[in-house]
Amino acid sequence: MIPRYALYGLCLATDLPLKAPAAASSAAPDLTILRGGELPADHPAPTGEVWAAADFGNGVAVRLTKTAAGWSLLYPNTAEVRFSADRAQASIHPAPGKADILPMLLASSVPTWWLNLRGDPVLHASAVARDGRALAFIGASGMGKSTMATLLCAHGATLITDDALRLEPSADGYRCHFGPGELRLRPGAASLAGYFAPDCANVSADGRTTLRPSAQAAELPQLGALVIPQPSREAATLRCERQSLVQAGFLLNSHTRVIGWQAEAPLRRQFEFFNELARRVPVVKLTVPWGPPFAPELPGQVWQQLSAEAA
Amino acid sequence: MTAPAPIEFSDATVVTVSPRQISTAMGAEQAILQLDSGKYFGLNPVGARVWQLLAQPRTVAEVLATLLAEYEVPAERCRADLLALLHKLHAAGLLVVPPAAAPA
Repeated sequence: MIPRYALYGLCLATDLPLKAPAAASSAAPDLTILRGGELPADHPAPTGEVWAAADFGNGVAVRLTKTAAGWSLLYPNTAEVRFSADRAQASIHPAPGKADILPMLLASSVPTWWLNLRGDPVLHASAVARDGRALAFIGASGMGKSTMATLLCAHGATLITDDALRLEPSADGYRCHFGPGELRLRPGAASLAGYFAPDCANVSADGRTTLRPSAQAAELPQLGALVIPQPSREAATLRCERQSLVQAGFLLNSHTRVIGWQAEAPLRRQFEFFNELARRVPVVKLTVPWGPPFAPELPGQVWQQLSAEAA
Repeated sequence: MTAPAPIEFSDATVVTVSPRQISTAMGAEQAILQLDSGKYFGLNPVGARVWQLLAQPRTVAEVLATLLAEYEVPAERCRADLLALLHKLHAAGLLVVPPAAAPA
């Protein structure tokens, strides 16, 4: 049987080895992705209606195209994922020399695109939980999401996800789905790995220090607050600034995990989903005295201030 | 999205919200998404009231008269602020000037 993994509330079956929690043996796959053949060096972009295209600079880009056979998710010069029209099956094809990147794509980027296609927008966020309540840190790459999550995990919190957060509306707010269970630290924050046992740390295919801090909780944590970290070398104390509803909606819509939509339906869906989220959950900017080193009392103060906002 | 050609608004100019947007009330404020550019806009409570009025075609004079009746503000300042807002909304592709009604 093809191994099955639990990611972002999905059951993902794949013959590629993922560093992700195993799904329950009884779970039926939402998506099955099998390793396909290598792309030719001069692989052209597929033809069809472009639904999304984004260029992140430094040679990283992505393009989603509706093709005659289904969907193509192309990472130029890296890989292509070909989804069937019903999106239940897919194959993933590496560019020459890029096969070792495939598990990383499957653990984060590919499921978030798939979820958006299904109508489930995903935030660009890291999240942690304590006593069943979650804090999500949102922001662009390099703005402190993973660092904040790492700090709180080092002081007793449970990791929900790093980089991509899927939220599910519930009667009492929003529940947070678990990601792969791994933190990826930038070089400047790699010293935070010292808070954890040595067997938690590893190195990813793209050279980052990774941490797998603790086992996941059984229950999906309830989201308490959405936080935009504002790292500051000058600030001496934490400062919390609640955002107006319209500003909160703007911030959430500006920090989606999937960007570059050209098709109207997913744009509309994101707008509706994240504005409703802004109405129901506090969104705050948090000025944080930045390190390393970080003050030892900082994690406790973060929980205290943000719990007050979420109350 | 190509920016629309600038227009001069007069009291008689009829304006309304563009069909190429979606919007929602966020408390007293208004959030708007321009569907061609994918850009998000926010309006404060007074801007949100203007937006609400422009949900159906109205002349600039009608909008101005409503604002003057509802807010304590000098007429000239209200006019200047309204025109500035209309220019911004139009440049962002959020307002249109419907073709004049055909004569009977």
